[in-house]
Amino acid sequence: MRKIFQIALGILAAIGGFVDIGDLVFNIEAGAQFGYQLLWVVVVGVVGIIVYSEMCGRVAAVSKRPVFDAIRERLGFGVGLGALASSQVVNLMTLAAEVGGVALVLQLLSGLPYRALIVLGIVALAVVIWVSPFEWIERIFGYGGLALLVFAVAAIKLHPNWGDVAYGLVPHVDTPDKLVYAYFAVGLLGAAMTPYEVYFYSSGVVEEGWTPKDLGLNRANALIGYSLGGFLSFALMITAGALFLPLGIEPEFIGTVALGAQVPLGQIGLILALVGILFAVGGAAIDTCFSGAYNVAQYFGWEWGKYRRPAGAPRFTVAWVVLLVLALLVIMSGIDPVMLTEYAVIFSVVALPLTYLPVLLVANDRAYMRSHANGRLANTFGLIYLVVILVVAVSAIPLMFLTHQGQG
Amino acid sequence: MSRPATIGVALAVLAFSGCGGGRLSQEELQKEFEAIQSLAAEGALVADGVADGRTTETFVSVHAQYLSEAARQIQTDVSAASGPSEKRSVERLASLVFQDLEELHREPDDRALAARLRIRLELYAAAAEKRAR
Repeated sequence: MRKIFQIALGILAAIGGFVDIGDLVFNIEAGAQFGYQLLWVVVVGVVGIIVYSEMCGRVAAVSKRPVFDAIRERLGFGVGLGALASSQVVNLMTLAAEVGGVALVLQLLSGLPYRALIVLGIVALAVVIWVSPFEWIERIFGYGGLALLVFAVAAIKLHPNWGDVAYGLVPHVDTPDKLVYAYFAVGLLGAAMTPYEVYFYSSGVVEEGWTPKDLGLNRANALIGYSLGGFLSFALMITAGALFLPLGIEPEFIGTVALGAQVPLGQIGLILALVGILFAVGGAAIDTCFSGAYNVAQYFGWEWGKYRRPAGAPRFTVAWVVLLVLALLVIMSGIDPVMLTEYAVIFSVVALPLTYLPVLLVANDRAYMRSHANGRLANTFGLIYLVVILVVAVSAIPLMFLTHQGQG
Repeated sequence: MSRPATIGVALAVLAFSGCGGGRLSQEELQKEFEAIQSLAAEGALVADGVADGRTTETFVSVHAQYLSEAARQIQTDVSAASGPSEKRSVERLASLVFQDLEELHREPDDRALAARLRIRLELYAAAAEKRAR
């Protein structure tokens, strides 16, 4: 019974923690521009993150080695350093965008000045990271993010054409803007499979002391948690397709996302949407911040982990504090968080192969994994996704320039 | 840097710098009409929430300000550029949308005003949509 409860809690946290600012921006923009046509990409992205998260969690539980350990070992010090640098740049961009998102939502809730709320948001995140145990950080933000389920209700209340929604699950292109369509497909895939999620997930497995006995929990978390998290992405895209597309609204602001719940559900919908976004984006900010600190600590072989007190892992602690300060400087420069999110997602797509290839190699290594190495099914999916990742990694930046960031 | 190279760099900068101070093409004007339509339609939705008492004052005030700033930015950018005769229509529409969104930002709890603004913003959105085609 206790085990089932533990699984349920983990899954709930995974659902609420699945959506970050990249998912919010790309799902809402894609829905507003193409209706339900890109729903199938969400399915592809969610299956991809399930496949690789399960693999990362398994590797971490069996070998006690998180992703960046594997990257350094498999790619060598030099290439690994390249992977570290690229992942840190993307992490910092994502963290800054998430912090900006937190400040924007706080502004929509309080009306206080944006820049003051950036500082307040950073201080609040630092305090939460400093004082809360790892599992509580994960759970608090995951449960708070469940308020985003309001978009599922909003989507139903907007009475979309369910036949069109179902057709959206079948890959098809029904638009003259094929490049823009491709840009959003790449962005949605990148948002669903963003590398910091697996860095965080695998390091979290080590933080929580999982062993091979927890592989069932790992599988359930990845499979059910991410699937249901993908359901939130569906809800966001359907809401945007039903509400914004017919009116010709091109969402450019976080407030527009919340408007998607306010119009069908009134004030309660608006408040739940804002609270859900706040927790989802705040939780993602912490995940990203930790991911950056995990990566650098694991790469250089420092002591790391939230389960150690700050004095037990001083360089890890300094790393996340420095990341928060850098994110503060980036977002205080006045850059638009929504635009920064788009850049962060597209650049993260470029870094995807450097993250997922080493994971696939280590998950196949019987010296590490013994009887828990990849089976045929995991390898088939792993290889298919590696090809998909390579294709989108090569096409992401050209598509961004050719479409002026999806503007056509 | 040689003169041809300098000219090349200058042309490249102009090509990538959008419409700021340059000449607007028909296609760029169409994009501006689409952007105005989007802002006006979204503003109408926000105003609708106020008119029906189904939103919060803080949300309306803050979000309407972001929308109005975007409308003013379009007006400023288009004013600084030269272009076809429709340029004036873009400027005019952007200015009207900006003014209404500013009112919404300043009076987020005035339901009667919001009802009027909703109708006007819907009209502007329809006008911009027609021009964008």
